[in-house]
Amino acid sequence: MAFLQTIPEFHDPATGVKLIGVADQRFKRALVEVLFELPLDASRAARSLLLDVLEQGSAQFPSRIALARELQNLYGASCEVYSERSCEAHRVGLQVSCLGQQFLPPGEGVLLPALDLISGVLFEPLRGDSGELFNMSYIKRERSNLLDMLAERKDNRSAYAAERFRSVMCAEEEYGKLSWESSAAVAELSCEQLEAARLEIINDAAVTIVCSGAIDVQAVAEWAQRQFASKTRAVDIVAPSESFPAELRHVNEHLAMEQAKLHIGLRLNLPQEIVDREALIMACSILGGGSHGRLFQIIREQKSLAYGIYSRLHGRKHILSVDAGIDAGAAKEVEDEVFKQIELLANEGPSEIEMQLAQANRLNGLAALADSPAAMSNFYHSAYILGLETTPHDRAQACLQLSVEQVQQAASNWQPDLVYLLSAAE
Amino acid sequence: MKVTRTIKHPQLQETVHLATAANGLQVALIPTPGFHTAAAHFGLRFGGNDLKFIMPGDHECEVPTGSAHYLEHKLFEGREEKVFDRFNRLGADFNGGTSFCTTTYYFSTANNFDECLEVLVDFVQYPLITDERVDKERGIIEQEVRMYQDSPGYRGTFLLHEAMYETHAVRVGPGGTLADVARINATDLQHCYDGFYVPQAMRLVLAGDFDVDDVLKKLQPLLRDDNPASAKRVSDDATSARATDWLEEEFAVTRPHVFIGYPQKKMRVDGQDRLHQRIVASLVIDLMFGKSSELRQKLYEAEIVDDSFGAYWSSDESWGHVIMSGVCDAPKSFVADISGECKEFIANKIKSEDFERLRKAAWGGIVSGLQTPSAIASSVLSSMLSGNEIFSALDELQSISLDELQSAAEDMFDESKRAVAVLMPLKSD
Repeated sequence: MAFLQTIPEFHDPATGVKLIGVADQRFKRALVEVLFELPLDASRAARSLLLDVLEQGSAQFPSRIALARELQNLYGASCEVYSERSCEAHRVGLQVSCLGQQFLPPGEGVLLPALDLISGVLFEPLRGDSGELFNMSYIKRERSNLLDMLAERKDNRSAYAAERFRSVMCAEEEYGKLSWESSAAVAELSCEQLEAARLEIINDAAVTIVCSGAIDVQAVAEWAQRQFASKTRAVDIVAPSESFPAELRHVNEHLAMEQAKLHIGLRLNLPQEIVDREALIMACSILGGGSHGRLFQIIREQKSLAYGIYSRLHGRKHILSVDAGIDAGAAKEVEDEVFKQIELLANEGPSEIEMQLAQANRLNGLAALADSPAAMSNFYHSAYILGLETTPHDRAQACLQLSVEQVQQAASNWQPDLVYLLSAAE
Repeated sequence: MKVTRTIKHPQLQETVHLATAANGLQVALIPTPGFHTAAAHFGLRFGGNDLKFIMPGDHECEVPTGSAHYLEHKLFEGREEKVFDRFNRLGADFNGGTSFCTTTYYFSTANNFDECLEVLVDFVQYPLITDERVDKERGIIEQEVRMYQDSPGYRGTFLLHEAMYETHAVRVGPGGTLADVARINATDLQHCYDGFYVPQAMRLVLAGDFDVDDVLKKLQPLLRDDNPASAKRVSDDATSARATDWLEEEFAVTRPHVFIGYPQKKMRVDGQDRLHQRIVASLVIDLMFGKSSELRQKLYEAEIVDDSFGAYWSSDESWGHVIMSGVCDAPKSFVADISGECKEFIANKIKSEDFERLRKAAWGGIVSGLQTPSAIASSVLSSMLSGNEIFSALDELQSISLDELQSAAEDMFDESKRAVAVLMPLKSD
């Protein structure tokens, strides 16, 4: 099995701007993400509404239709602006995906025009007809749409349960905050606050540009140099907080729903060494990382209590969670089994066959990411954030050398924090 | 087994080699030099809609809804060892899927491709279906069906199907109703298997950085020898009657979710014609409801729709429809406003420049959709099961005229066939 040994290109096109590029002409599309990171502070409500207002057009393409039509002219390039909570920071993202040069008629290029189009909405926004900062009727409409969307998020039971789990478990931490702050905060935003938020994104955010696929990294670096020429500073994003529970908590909330959603949260120490991280990934995988995991085998295959039950690590945050859709009446049985398996893993370690299955799964995942521009971007960006100079090949080597004891050790510091159940009222 | 035909597509920069095994199985192989993963997709034209069929010997069978999906689950049980365990040992990503009309089984792997192919071909060809094994899976499938029942999009779509079609199997999702899942037995599943899982009715597509002849040589001994006749599908006629023009149900939503459907009068039976029809319909829908459309912008600026609004085309041999959906406060005026704007848009005629711009975007979408071995294998299998020429979407796209598009738009939105489904918030909320 071959693993990617590519070390990405790193560029520093401007102050506070890092570019990570992995060009690969096997792909038909190019992918570029411009990520602006800021603290999850009081401006996040303004940033959330701002992006909806910015999508109404730019100085060059002064309407939603004009933006959409230009993207069609660029052979169906897709551009997206979004904001989200990224661990304990607030992220504003501009994403461009477009056809690679080798599939275009000679002389045509779509990547740089697409980048100019999407950055135009942020850097040269559409102003009001009479010189106002933004068109006030757009702000009114987009605010109303955003408030509706926030009110309706309960309609997606799975996503809402995951949100509530995080908010309850990390109520005192940045990780528990909503990325839009609150509906009340959105309702009170002024035009001036939106403009201040826009300038803050441009001037103060730490910027990472990640590009992969059928791309010319140098051309993106030159574009970034032009785009961020006036940038002189970038905020520091603080490391995620660590919090360990005094005791296990149980929270049961109710909504009208057919299937209950169970989330179990555990705290852990996130190791800094690659080999220790691989041990942690393996331990999580053995617990519930897929159809080879203990929880899938026992809860689904032996007991038929869930269609799916999986464990996952929360990126940079020191949390592991187990998530399942179940009958509310089976919640206690599932919870007991989850904790029993965690205890067994910590006390007795994994079996040889569990090690082999988790290793095969991990190695296949590491090898396969070479075939996905998005997966490559994600891998190298995560490594950069974590301060790890690593390739899929390095990770595979670390994984191959793991012992049963190292994986057992990784599972031994998981501390149960919260059992959260969203279910229909009895 | 030898390659009998090779199709090269210069614009897509892809080549597919076709072969037919002695037992009638059709195989497609797509070399993808330089890619780390290889994929195999094994499928057949048998899905959630196939509830009635005539077995060889003229024995008529009727099975409960959800049978095709249940059978897909059962095949993963394997004979002596669970398929999950076999694939997991090899480290592969694998899954299966059941739609209205097809069932597919697939894997993608960076290692052990030959061994994975052996597992795939083995478990699909040699199942063991007993009542005890069928009972064991029931709880898992019930949980899967219940998971979908919490989704407003899923529930609203099938409420609309119930309104659009008086009798057709497409009224129920491929997973079936909970009542039917509770009564499916081994005999039902064995009939489905014997009738449709026959080599001549199945297609196998492989994509990866491999030697085509070498793969064919290894594949041949894995295939079963017999080549029994296939069952005949008995499709309901969906073009006859609409059940009702308006259907409402209370559901756990914050505001009303509205689904508007336009069933089509006549569907193309030939696979190539159906592909053409699908591309034409998708272009019409994009022209009318995509973000570049004046109609959508007008509805958006008037605050009739927001970004929850969407529209799509779905079809097979015996049914086809356009579905629009969105969230609103007043369903009746929402439907009236959208219908009125649709009529006006169609009366004003489609502009040539809008069509050409959209065609350019669609061209980019078709090319870039074939990015990975697994995506390529999936697309080729879909073509083979639908009966259209592989990699022909670009040619079909180029062959469409403005007049054809205008004519299709006029046919697609027949108000006399329109049906609406609404999920209303629970009164107790």
